[in-house]
Amino acid sequence: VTTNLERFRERLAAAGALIPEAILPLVAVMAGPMLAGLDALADFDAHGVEPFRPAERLMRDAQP
Amino acid sequence: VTADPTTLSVAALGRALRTRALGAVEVADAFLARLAARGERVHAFATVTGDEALSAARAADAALARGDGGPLAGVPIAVKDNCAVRGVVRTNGSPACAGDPRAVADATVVARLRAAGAVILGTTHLQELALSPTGVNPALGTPANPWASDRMPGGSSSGSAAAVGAGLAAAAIGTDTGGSVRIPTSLCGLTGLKPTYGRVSRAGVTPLAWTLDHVGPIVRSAEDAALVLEAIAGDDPDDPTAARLPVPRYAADLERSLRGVCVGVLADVRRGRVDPEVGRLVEEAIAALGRAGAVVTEVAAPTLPHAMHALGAVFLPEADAALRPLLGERFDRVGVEAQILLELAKLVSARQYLAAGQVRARLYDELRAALATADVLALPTTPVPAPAVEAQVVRVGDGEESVVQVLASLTGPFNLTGLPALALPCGFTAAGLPASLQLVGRPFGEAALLAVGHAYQRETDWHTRRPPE
Repeated sequence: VTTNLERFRERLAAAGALIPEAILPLVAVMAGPMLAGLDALADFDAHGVEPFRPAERLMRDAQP
Repeated sequence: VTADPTTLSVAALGRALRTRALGAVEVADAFLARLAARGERVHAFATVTGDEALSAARAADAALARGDGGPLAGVPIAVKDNCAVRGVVRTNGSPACAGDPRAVADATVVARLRAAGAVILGTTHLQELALSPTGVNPALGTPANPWASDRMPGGSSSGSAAAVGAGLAAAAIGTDTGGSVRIPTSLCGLTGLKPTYGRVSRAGVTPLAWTLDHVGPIVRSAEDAALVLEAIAGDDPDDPTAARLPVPRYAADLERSLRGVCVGVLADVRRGRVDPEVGRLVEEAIAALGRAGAVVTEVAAPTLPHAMHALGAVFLPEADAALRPLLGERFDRVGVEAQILLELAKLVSARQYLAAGQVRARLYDELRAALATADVLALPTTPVPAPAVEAQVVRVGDGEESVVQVLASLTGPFNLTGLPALALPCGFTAAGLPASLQLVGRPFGEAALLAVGHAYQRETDWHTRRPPE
């Protein structure tokens, strides 16, 4: 059985990220919601909308 | 008899200085004396520029005597230590930068404050590299929350909020990438504005996340926010994202009636994970707006639950891309928490970054639709009052969550969309901790947003409360 910590370690290795082994369990817990959020983005149905470009869009809609 | 200058708002100080009831040197002396007496305990300032402040105060007195002082002539203001201030080392809240050379030029925001006659008192501490919203900085020290020293001040503009809250500056400049002006504003019982993306130049400010970064004031009232914004806003050839739009006379346009103004309440937030006391105080604030003539209606933004996922997917890789090259060999001297965050950035894929951009576009469209009906949106600034300094998790609703995630959960959506957002104190919990109402406006609609905030502060006195000495 692969544990969450092992999966986290594999994910870090695949991305080339280095976290000291001594604090890995703590970081795995604290980063858990963020990683779940990143995974959830893959399921977001964006209907093909273009990514947001703040400077351009806000200027276009300016209502001073 | 004139009140102690350190207790006055920017607006009141300006009036006293223009009528010569107070002199600028007298005001600067009062703030510097208070800093000398209380500065160490509050730990708000990284650098105090006392001699330069007195020199600027003398110049302000001369200008005021000639009748040509700028709009902020003689008003003492502090600047977050990720903004360049000529002659000052910019630590960015990190020991890695504490040995850097002194800045040779001001950030645009600082230059504009000086041009308006402001007296720069110095630079304020922040969370390391502005990377997190708690305000806790183990390496360079954590500024004290003026309402409870065992509670987080909020961050990352922790020192700016602590300085204004403790009466060590009349106003302060903060930066806001996920809530870093509004979160410490909320936890310290102050008023703070994140303007529209591009409204205030970021030239000379250490970048954190290019598409999320904003600069804004932390002050004591919406009127003060209007006065400072008017001085610092505007186009800037040194910042390609600075908007080429005229700057309205925000302060002159504050006195508006709330009659007929529509306040939209986000339904998911209203029924979401918010501390019960904070939720009640924010509902009372919304009811106060209604009693003053506003029409309150519920609005929806179905994409809002995805906002924090998107914030992480944008914030981390942009911060990594901005900070690693900037730090270079100094990266090894960055604290562990900041290093870990930048390492975690490597876990964000290009696909996830782009999906986050799509979430932003959808969320923006939904909020713009809500703001077609409503003039402003109203929600809590932070779902919880100031957590204990050492807290890693906080209880919200029926469970515990990461304090970092919770603190930024209601501010981050307006960094993603760039919409202007104003934080206003709206009461105190039974433990005596401030709660904060957040109002959100239309793109570049700061004038209307500040007018609603000002109208709320005409009806209430939370912004006049001062922490115990």
